[in-house]
Amino acid sequence: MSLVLLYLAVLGGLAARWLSRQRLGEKPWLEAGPGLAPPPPDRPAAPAAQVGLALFLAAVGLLFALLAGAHGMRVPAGAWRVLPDPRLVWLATGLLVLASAALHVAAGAARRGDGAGARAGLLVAGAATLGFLAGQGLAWRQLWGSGAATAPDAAGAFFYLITALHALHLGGGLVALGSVTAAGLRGLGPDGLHPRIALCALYWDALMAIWLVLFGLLFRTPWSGWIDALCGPA
Amino acid sequence: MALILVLIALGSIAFHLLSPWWWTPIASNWGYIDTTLIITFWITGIVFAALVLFVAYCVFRFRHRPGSRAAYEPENRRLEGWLTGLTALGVAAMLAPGLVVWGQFVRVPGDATEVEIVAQQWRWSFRLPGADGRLGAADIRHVGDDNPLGLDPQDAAARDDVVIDGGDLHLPLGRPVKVLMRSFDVVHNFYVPEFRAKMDMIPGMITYVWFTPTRTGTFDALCNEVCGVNHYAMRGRVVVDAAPAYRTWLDQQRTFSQFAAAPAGRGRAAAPRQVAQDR
Amino acid sequence: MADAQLGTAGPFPTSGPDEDELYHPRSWLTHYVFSQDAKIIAVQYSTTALAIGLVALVLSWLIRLQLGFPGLVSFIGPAEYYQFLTMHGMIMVVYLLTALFLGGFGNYLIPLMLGARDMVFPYVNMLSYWIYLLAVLVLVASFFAPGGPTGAGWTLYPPQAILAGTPGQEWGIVLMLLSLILFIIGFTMGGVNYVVTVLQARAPGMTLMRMPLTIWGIFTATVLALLAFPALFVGAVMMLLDRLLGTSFFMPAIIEAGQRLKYGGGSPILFQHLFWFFGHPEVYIVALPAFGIVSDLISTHARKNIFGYRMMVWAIVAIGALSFVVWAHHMYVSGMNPYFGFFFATTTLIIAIPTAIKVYNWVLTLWRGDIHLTVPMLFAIAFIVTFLNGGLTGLFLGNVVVDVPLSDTMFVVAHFHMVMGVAPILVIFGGIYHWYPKVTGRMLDERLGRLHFWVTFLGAYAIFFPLHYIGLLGVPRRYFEIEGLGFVPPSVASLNAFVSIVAFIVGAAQLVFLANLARSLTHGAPAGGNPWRATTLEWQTPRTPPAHGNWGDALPVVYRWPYDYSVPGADRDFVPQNQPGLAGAGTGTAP
Repeated sequence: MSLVLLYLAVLGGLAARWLSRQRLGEKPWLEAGPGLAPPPPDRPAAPAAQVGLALFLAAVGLLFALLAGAHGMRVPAGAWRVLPDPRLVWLATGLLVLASAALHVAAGAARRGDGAGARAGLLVAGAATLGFLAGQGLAWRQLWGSGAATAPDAAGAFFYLITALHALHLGGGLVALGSVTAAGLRGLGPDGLHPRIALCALYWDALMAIWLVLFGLLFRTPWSGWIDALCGPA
Repeated sequence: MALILVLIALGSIAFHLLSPWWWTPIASNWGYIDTTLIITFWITGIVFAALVLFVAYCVFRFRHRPGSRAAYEPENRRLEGWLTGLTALGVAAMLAPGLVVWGQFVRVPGDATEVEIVAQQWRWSFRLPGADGRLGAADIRHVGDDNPLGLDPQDAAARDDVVIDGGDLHLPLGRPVKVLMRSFDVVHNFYVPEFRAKMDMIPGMITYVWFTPTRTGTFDALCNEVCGVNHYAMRGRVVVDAAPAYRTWLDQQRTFSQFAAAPAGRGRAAAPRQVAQDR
Repeated sequence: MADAQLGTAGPFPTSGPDEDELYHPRSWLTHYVFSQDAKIIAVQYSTTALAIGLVALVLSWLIRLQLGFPGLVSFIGPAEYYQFLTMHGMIMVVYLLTALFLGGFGNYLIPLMLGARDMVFPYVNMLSYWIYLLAVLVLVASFFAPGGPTGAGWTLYPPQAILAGTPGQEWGIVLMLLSLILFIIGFTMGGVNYVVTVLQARAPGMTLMRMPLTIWGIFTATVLALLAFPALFVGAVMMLLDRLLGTSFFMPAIIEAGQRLKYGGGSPILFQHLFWFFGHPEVYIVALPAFGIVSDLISTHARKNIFGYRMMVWAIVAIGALSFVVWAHHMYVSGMNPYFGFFFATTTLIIAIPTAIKVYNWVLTLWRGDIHLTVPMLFAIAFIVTFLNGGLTGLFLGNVVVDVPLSDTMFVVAHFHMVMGVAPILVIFGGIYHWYPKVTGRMLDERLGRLHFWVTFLGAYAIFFPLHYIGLLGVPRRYFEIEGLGFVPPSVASLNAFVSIVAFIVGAAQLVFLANLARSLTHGAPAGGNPWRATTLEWQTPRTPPAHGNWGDALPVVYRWPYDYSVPGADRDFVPQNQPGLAGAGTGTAP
């Protein structure tokens, strides 16, 4: 449960930092009066879509944090750390990192007005993400039939549930990425592409961050100890 | 409106004083819980009456009349500070005794006798330690017709345990008991209003609660966590006996080893199950 | 975001979507059915929520029929009783209150009160409603499914919820969980929208500290909901897998009817943690918008600024933050580690302090006000009384030892109905009487409104206040019948009969309200733009009901906070937010 509370604390910290800049201590009634000019509007620094997406990802992040916390409460320590070929999963993880990096490259290229670079980045990201999904599919097949899904320690069930939800999350992103790529290939210029690619890059950063935590939770990785400490029974 | 609000405040107090419904006479050591409850009643009652009467006064005194105009007062830090401080004080006055009593509630005295209650849809069974004074191991895997509570046949401590399947639970007067709770199927809760104490019984784990019966008599027990269609019919009885009567009763009960030898004559409460199947 | 600075005059760029970006309906279908206009979506949300709420009201009649007059009708057996109980609770909490406050009031008031043209993502907003409607339909479908709806209690505790001893185990529980998952998806779409709109689409000059408390309440509640619903989502998905695929997330080794089931090792308490991690913020998801709306109603109808606005804002934020660390106070007797009790009792009682401050400030707003006892004001004052009552009994249940004898008795039922049933619903009524003139351009009938108010308020109080006492006696909740319990005197049966009769009357009074809503649509007195002489922006629209895009050619410019009532020196007893000076009609003020 600590992971959930830590995650909430981070969100709370961000919210507090934002609120602290909103002059919540002011006495609004004193600022009224004849001749008072309205303060200049708070020009939003980020486009609305970016803020909306960030909020959505914050909620999704909490969802996975709760799953990890549930895993910690339910699965006995060290019950199962497994089983699909670890090289396969490491490869898939590498592909996801690559996809995220490629999107950042694409966003940078689009900002500089380099349409071809942006398109190339998008294609690499799309291909790498599909590779990740394929790796996940293979891992699923390796587990299938081992009966892990209904084993009493629930580790297998958690593996299926968590990876399936993550794949679903990723699939939603792929639809968006596909539409951006299609628009790019149909000739949308870098100016039009940039905001959309930036959204994808944000989404993939979240996908990658969430996956790294889940990876540490479900498999044996150098950072698994940290995850275990945070997800253990409260 | 103002008049009605006054009536609500006074009526609520009158109802509180005159109502025929109050807690059952206590039969355990948890009089402290009642005391904490009374403190809470006093504090919240005063706050409730004061605020509702104040609202009534405002509604009457400051009702709209032609030409009247409201005062302009955005805030009053001193007043708000005072109110916050007083509220914190009132909350502390309720919380502090509550936490102290909870401290007693979770710490079981060392001399408490263990008793086990096992719940399943929709009946209770009980187990008392035998001559060795402790309960043997049990697991749901061992449950069978000759072993209704799933005691471990390999465990010597279990063989002399007294198994009560279908009868009332008897407890000796004035001796602290630690009640261990198991469930075979869903979440139940063993609740005897006179004892005040209660706890959920969760399948797959053992929960506990402790108390000391302080009054002899027969008390109704009921399930207090919704557990399926016959939840309301899941009743039981607890009898608190003085020591001699308790001894007599205990001597008539069968131990696990006797039970395993002759599993006949068990009055399984099949009726509730029947209702479920009739649906 | 840049710090707002005073004294810089000049042209203000319009924020929010420009006129040419704004979505325009092209046909009747896209105007009224698949509309992307937040005002229409608000009405759609509200009518759907009220319609399903009526179902829940009828269910409560049936529950009371059984409790007050056991055995009178033959069609309510124990199975039906538990099904009615479950569906009543779930509908009221999630599908009525949450949807109506956030989807209904939120959609209508956020853009209008902030001076925006619409929500930031209108298309997503529309999707949100249609997914909500789908969730409601799936829920309704469970009534007609084989075996009927689930009877697991609205808390849906496993293992009970998915075992054969519980009604609706075949289809009911599956549809219930699916419906909740859909609801959460739909709500998340709407919720992101509400938050971003508050963050980014405020009119020029509308700083956070110039937002009406209604918006503060809805905004904070939406943030809570975005963070609370994932827990329910996780719990629902895991339970669905346990039910359909035989996993054992929540299912330990179980013997049911003498048979070992294939489950093993699961943790029922894990579900309770997930459920209440959602469930307790849910209480505030309902309460915070109610707090906000009632603040505005009291201020407007007492013609006085809300007392201690800053404190009110801070209290809303503090309650929102604290609401995430109190969830296990629903689980004191659940068998969890008993030492958690110390922590959760302390946090729970601390949260009473900001809540109490809010109550004081409402009451102090009335002090030296100029109180117009309009129908919305009656509801607002009634809210104070019922909320105070329910909040104080919360101190009993939050204080861990006191909760031990009271948990799962009728005391709990009385407490949460008072604090989270009656109180927010009174606010909803007050809000509808207050804003109906803006939505339709016509006033609701005053006499019918008063009749509705008095029956509802006094009736609800008479229903729930006595129930506390039979709970104190030990009468358990969720009991199909309580006959044969030695400690229950016969007088309890008479009380139950009395309460049931009052419940039938209060329920019938809601028909008066519905008739009023329908009749006033065509026969109500014309309202004008600002019938309550209120300051907030939604009353300053150029047209009533507000046209598409809300504001005509130019967005309003905000010069002051929303509570300038009875300001010394002003020529009227209210100064609209978009009026630059104290005197005279400001820009866009309707006559």
